[in-house]
Amino acid sequence: MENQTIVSQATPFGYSSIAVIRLSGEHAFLFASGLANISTPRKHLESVLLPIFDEGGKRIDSGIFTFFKNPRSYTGEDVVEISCHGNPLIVKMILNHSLFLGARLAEPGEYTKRAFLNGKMSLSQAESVGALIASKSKNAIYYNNKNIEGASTESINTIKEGLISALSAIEYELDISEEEDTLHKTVSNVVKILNNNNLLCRSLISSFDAGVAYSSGFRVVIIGRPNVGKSTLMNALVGLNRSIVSDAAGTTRDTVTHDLIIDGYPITMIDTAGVREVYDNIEAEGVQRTTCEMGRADIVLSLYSHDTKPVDNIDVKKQINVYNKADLHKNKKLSGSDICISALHGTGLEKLNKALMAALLDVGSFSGDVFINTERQKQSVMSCESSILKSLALLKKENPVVEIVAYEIKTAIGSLDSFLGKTTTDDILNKVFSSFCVGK
Amino acid sequence: MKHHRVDVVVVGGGHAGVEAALICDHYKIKTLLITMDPSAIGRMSCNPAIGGLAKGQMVREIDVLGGQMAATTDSSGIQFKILNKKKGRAVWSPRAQVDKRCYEKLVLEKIKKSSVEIITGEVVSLLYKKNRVAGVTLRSLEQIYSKTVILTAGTFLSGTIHIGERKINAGRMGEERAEGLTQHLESAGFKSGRLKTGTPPRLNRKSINWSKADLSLGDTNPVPFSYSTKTFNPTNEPCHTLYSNDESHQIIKKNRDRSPMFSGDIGGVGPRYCPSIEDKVFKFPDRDSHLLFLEPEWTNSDQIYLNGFSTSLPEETQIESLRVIPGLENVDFFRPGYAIEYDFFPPSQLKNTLETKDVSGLFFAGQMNGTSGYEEAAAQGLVCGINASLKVLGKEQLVLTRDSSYIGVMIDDLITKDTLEPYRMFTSRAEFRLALRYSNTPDRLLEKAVECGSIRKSLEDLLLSVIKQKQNMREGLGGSMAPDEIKKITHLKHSAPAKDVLKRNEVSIWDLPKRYLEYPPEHPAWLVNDTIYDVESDIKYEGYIKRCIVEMRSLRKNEKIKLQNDLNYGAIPGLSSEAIEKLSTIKPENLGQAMRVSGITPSDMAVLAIHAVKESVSRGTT
Repeated sequence: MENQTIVSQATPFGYSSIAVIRLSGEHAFLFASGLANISTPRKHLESVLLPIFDEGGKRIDSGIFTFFKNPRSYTGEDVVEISCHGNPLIVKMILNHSLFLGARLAEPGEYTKRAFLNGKMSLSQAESVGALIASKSKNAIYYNNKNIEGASTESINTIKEGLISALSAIEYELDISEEEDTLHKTVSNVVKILNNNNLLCRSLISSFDAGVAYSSGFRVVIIGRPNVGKSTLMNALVGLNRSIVSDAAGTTRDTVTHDLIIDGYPITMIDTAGVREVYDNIEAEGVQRTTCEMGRADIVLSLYSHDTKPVDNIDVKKQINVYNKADLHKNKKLSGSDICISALHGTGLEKLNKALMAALLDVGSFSGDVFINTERQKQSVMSCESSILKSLALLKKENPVVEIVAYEIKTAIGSLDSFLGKTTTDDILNKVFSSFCVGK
Repeated sequence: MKHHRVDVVVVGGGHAGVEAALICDHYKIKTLLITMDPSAIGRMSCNPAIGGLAKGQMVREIDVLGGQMAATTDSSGIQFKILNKKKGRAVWSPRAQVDKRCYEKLVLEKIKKSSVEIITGEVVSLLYKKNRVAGVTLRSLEQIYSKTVILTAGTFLSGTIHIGERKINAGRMGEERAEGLTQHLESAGFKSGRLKTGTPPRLNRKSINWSKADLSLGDTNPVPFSYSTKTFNPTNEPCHTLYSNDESHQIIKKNRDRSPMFSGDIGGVGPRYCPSIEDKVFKFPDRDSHLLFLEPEWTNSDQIYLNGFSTSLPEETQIESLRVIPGLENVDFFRPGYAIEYDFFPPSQLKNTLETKDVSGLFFAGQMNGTSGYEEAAAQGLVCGINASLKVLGKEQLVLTRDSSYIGVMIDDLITKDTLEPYRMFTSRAEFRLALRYSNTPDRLLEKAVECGSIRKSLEDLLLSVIKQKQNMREGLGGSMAPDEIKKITHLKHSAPAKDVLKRNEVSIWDLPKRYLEYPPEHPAWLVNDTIYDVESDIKYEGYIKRCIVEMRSLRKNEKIKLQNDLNYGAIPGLSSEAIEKLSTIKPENLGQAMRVSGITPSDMAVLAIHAVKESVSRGTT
């Protein structure tokens, strides 16, 4: 559906004084009134302070609503911009309420795309819009694969595979079986698969609700050889005595995490076990976790000093090399962008903080809407679940109309497709051909 | 040497060629049909049936678009059946067992009655004028000049038959193959490939112990394919079924190496949906039996088609593995099963009109486009014939979209997807399956048929009255039913529109008071039933159909955004390298087609959409 009303946060993700949420599309005015629980008609450029409610009718915030009537808006559609308090939790609740009202979350670059397609942009801007969307979707793909809890993508994939096998069982009935009377068996098989996947959807949705996936901000991982001062740096940065600091190499055998906010960006700082060639059994586990953390990191702080080499062969998205213990060995020559600090004495930490911010801006330079991927995942799983439930209801009837069930399962698969790539009719037929003895 | 000058040359007299030639004749343009064997015109070379799952819907579409297959099937059918009756009304698919000899005879009569001229010969090359086709050259070196050419060569292009280790160069068993045309087309720039298909053995009725087989009959209230069929009292001749067993599977396994499928003698790819028995035995080792159908090839025929046992094993293995099946202990063959390999031309080289992208006026239809099946071939032949005629007459081409018909789905699939095996129609290929019912074919296609002038006036009038009747009934069903009337059929206390009552699960349209089901007396009983069921379907499926319509709209929007044939995809920033490669080969005509090319991601689509809109703005067109 091309012109469905879309919603997303227009300001960067994180804590700030003000966050802006933008609604665009046919029902933007209607949904905005829904958020404020009023029904006064609005005029172009009207700006009013209104209360904001969640879908349960509880007041959560108040904000400035600005209304733009089509075509005189950024996208050329009806647009409402809501300025509320810059708390990610409030933003999340407003987005949720908008989705409840019938909006959907914007795709990366979608506002710009609509603006262009509605003739709100000059020709010369078109190329850059295309490139922008392409690069944004690359980032989105990157985030889908890596940053978001890998486990949820995997579970969604499992659900999709289950649905494809249910659908192919039905398509076998519709397209192949002709005179063989296998319908009854197929139906009970499909019910089994659907029930199973319904449970998977349920548990996935509750895991999203727990906010586990959502609340994790950028992951900054500190790595280095044993005793290079990782925990000291972590403590210095966090300003809290959370990691155990000692002189024996290999103290931090596990990863230690701490959430903090730097310049409005939510950050999860992760201290890891030291990486060295030889380690004992207890450490082995810790080192494995370190490798795992590096894989999920947005930014890696690679620590080294005058007497320890940096950890080599690391393949990460963004890396900052940090030379520690500068107080012990003052005139060390550093390569290019390496940052010189003493974690123990707190020198150079300002500079490191700046470098960290620059890197965060780089990693997080695309607009906020990519960051709500998990929210979009949750929406997808919820609509998938509702289609599964409809299918199950249809299958309970005495003589189930399986072609309608097929349609519902297809809809269910379609809701997962935006994350996992399009499912084509060939995918279904391939499954039919590979799973069933087909043909006269 | 005699010089011909015609409007259209149709090469081949199979199901594609016949439809093409007859529809061209309907347009009253000068039509020449060239065949290597005039006695084989309209021949059903494989199974003695027309229609079936998804194919039956296509035959109805052929009928509404002015084709002959439906009516001929009605006159030559010996058993009619609607398949999938229990599985939902959109997948109800009519199928008929057909008297092959009768079918062939009726087709030849139609051609002879028309002004289509038939000549015997083999086309070896084409004539061109710039990048337009200008005619054909026969093996006899005779040249025929023509404004358009439709090639429907079937399995004849470099056809090779395999039976075990035996190889025979032939287009069909006992018929010569065509040589040279593939090489000619390749030198003209067309890409070709190799496909394989197969056919089962034909058994002698007298050698079968029929008491061991199960009976399978058609419907007692048969429904014809064609709207123009007036008198319809077909026979209901029985088919029979048997099961293969483990013993016969063992024999097949033992002789596996002698099948050219496994020995590597066959390079062409065969259809997965119509696997040979040796394929089935190997792919599904858990199955200890496979269903086999015994189908008469014509009325009182001694020749029985063994459906489900397509094979290229040596003849003696075929006999040996069948004689261990109860009922076939003494079976004899009229002819063994065989596999055939043939040249095809990947259909991504065609436009959505089935005209080739590079040579104007040249059309391809049927198996040479990589499809299999009589119905698929006939549908393409018909579209080629209509478009060749419209081209000769200087009129706009007929394009069938995915939301209009199975034929539209097929053509779109052919031109946008990689052809890796012979293409067969399945209902699951149609994303708008719920809206593409055999019973609503006129609603979907009549307007198109009238617009392009392919339908006869008498049929047009009948179908208009059917559509009008449906409208009236739907309107009538908006009227309220009294509580008394409702009480008789469902638990509902207050009065309500009949439509809402009908939406309830337990209510059928036949339960409603007679006034809702009034019908013009001139329509035959089957058509009355058909129409009433279709109105019921529309109402029962209303919610789903509405969802389909929303999806259709977005599809249509993308179809309207044209892409230039010479578009340099490599120069569009942001396209993935896979997209660049695929789009450069397939050269989609519009954004909708591009979207369906395999390997194209949503991000590629966004980039391409913006590029296309930008292009059309800068060209000053929309």
